Amino acid sequence: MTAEGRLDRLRKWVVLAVVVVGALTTLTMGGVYALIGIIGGTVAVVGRLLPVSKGSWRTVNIAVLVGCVLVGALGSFQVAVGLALVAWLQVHRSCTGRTPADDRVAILLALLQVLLACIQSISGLLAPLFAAFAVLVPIALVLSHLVESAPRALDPTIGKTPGLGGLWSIGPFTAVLTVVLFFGLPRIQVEGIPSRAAESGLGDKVKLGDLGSLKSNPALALRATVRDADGGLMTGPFYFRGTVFDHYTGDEWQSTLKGQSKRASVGRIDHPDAILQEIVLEPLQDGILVGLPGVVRMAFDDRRRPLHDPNGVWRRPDLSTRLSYVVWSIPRTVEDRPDPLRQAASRVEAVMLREEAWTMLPPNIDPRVGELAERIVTEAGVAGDPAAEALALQQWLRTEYAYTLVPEASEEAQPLSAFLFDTKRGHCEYFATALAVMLRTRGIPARVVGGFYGGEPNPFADWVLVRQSDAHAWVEAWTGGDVWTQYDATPAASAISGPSFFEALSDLAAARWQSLILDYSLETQVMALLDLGSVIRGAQLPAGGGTLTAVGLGLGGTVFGLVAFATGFIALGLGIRFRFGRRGKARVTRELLRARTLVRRRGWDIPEHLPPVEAADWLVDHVGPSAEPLRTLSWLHYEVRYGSADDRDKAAVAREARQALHKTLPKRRRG
Amino acid sequence: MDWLIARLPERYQRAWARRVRVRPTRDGMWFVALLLGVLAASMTTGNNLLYVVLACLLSMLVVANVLAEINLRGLEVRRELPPEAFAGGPSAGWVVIHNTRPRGRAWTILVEDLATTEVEHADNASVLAEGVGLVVHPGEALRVPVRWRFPHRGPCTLGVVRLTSGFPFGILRRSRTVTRVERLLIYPRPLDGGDADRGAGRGALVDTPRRRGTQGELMGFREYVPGDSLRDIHWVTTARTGSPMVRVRSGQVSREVVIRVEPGTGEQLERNIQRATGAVLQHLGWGHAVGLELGEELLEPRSGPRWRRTLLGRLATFGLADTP
Repeated sequence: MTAEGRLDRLRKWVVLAVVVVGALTTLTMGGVYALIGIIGGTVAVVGRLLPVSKGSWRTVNIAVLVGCVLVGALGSFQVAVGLALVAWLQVHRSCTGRTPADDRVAILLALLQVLLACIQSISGLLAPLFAAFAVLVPIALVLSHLVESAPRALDPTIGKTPGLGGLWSIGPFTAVLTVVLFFGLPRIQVEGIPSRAAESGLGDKVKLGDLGSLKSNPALALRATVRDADGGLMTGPFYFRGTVFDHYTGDEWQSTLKGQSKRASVGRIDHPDAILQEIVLEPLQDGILVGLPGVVRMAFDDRRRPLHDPNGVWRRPDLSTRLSYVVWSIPRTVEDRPDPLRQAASRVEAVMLREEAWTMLPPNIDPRVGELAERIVTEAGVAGDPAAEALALQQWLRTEYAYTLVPEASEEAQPLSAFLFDTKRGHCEYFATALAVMLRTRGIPARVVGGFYGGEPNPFADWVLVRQSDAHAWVEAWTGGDVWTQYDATPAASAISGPSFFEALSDLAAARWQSLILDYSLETQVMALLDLGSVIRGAQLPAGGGTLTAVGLGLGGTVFGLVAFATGFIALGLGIRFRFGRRGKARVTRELLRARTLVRRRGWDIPEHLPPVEAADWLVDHVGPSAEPLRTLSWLHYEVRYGSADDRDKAAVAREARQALHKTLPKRRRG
Repeated sequence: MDWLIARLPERYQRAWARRVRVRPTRDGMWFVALLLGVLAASMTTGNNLLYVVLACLLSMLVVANVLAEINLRGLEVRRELPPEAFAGGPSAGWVVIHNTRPRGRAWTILVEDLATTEVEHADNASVLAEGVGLVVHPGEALRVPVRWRFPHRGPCTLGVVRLTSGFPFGILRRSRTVTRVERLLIYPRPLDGGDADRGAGRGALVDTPRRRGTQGELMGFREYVPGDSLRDIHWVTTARTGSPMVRVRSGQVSREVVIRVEPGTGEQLERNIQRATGAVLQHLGWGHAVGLELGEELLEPRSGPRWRRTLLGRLATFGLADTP
């Protein structure tokens, strides 16, 4: 096989690998996009491997185009059709083109597929695909270039099948440089990548029974690292409080106090009882944020201030992306209430309590519910004691009712009546509704809380995983006099099992992808720069104006980086030669250059095109033996530059030769 | 830019002219356009995944630029000129690229010999010869076959050699120039001698055999020379020897011929010189003693390789005003 044939074969396989990687990136987008990727990628690979006749190709061409566009039309129109078009072009190029120019188009199309995946997906699977892409594309381009040049080269070495040698390292080197540039490129702003909000029933309203359908969804809802006041890692399960429903219509819970939200202050707090949670949250409906009960403060990378309503719901209405943030919660049992926000909230709570916001019941409420509550607390002998009544009702529901995700059908008009008096089976939402309504019939303020209960510890990391299937509802009641107390009437579920080995490993990779790549921001960059300490020793971002400082530094860094990049590019373009690794060989060369200058000054114009030794020969021919030192110097230069001679040993000899030339070389007489 | 460069001191102008040139190829233009698009998208959206793609494209650009620079370093060029070169036709020779680097191969080097001796004019100079070397191993030399095409007869000074490479990705074309001054006398383009026979009166020939292809007995064979008629080629011998061979007949040997170049100007003179050159080559190839009448100057008939060079040299410089 000739070198050209070998290179050509290598090129085909590497380009095929690039096409496959491009198609695989579309799989990370899921749904209809993945379908388009599979169709396009499979046909492109088959078309590249098998020689397809023109007739067959025409049929395939039309079929793939129609199929991709039809499938694309089912999804988000612009992206899906764009992706279908790219996939079709890829198929077209793969089935018909065989030249290096076609390869470059195929690589470009694969790059477009990667770009579309970047816009649509945040999957951690993109990490290995990006790495493969960064390694393979340079190698594919090198091979295409060599194969394209080879037919024109009448090179006697062509028959010797020259290996690529160090050229293979271009791929890994480019990949490493990509990583360096990614972290070094200055950021001006960082917006997350929009992703679909999880339908976890944590919006502003939920119909009774809706939560049940979500309990079978194993998708990740959040990751949380929870530490106690001493910094020790806490293990779950945890109640992650999300939304709060205060208004019951008979078949639906609503959160009606959203309009009274106020901006909460942000930033870290130091409190001896504060539980710290580092949370990575998938976007929830209506920008709801979660945290352990008793949230007093939150902090975000972008320092935006969240909203906080009298129900104790925290939210960021503009939130449409995965969010990393820190939460401080102080358990309700702690007497000390230093946080002004908490005090302000309690003042609002007092007003709301006076207005009976949390004891209202729908007018058509089934009277049997109140009667049942009355009977339970009477039988328990706790009537008149709100806390004891709540505990009695909770205990009764836990023991007398059964848990099911699929409640049976009932002839009762109201879902709550069906649960309490007919089926007696339901999921957490039914239990929480029953408890809250029964408490309200007793005149005790109560509200239903929607959130998550669970937390599977990841053995490879500090955090716990909380899934959509951990969505849960419980009750908060005003039974303690000045605090909301949490009650959970749902019977205990089975023990929480941890993720499998590969699931935990995959979760670790996804989390690192999130923290290192997706969440990499201007502030992270600046803080990392400051942490280096060598640039600005001891400098710290001010707590208040950090963003402004960061933006200023970022903009300065951007300008500096662009100027440095442009300068380097221009310098290389101008041919300024950086002498990598030649520092040790400069002395003899410097002596030779000084000797040549001396010769010129003495009036001997050696032709410029002559190499050093030939130039010395020319001078000896014209001057005589007195120019011999230049010849010695020229050979020294060759020995040092192209041989293995040590410059330090030769430098003294070179200097002596130059000095000898200075003494012996006569001036040229003009005319 | 030219306005600014023209006002710089001469040494800086020369340094500017000697700079390494970087130009994107057609694919490179697409690459740069894509890079700018991703740059704009990543800056405006802040999407970190787009920053990853941007970093990948930028790193490829950096690697392409640095490797292209390294690829052209330490290359020395030397010409192996053809022993005689005729105007118009291809003259085969070699350009030797010597990779003086201790390590690192030089890949895909396009060598162009330019029709200028001034580096400053390299951009606009026409290309006399070009060839491509796929790989030059460190410390080794690669002989790249090239074919020079000289437009005119007369003394020619070869000067600037341009080395260009699209290595490694084919998205940037980087070139640098090397000055290697060499002088060469370009002989006139030979026209077919048969044409000269038919054009008697306008042409140049005196005392030519009437039917040279068939006159006399077959004395043997010799190699084909420019100007021989294709009818004289002996195909069997040609096939056996591997090179074109023509018949030599008794009427073609031991003849003395004086070829006259009719005076003229411009195109007419060039035409006469070309036909005379064809006739000289033809007769010398047949083994005749050939003389030359150039206006008032008469060169007595002689033969031999040195005489051939003398005749062709006189024809190459005849009528050129600035020729010594």
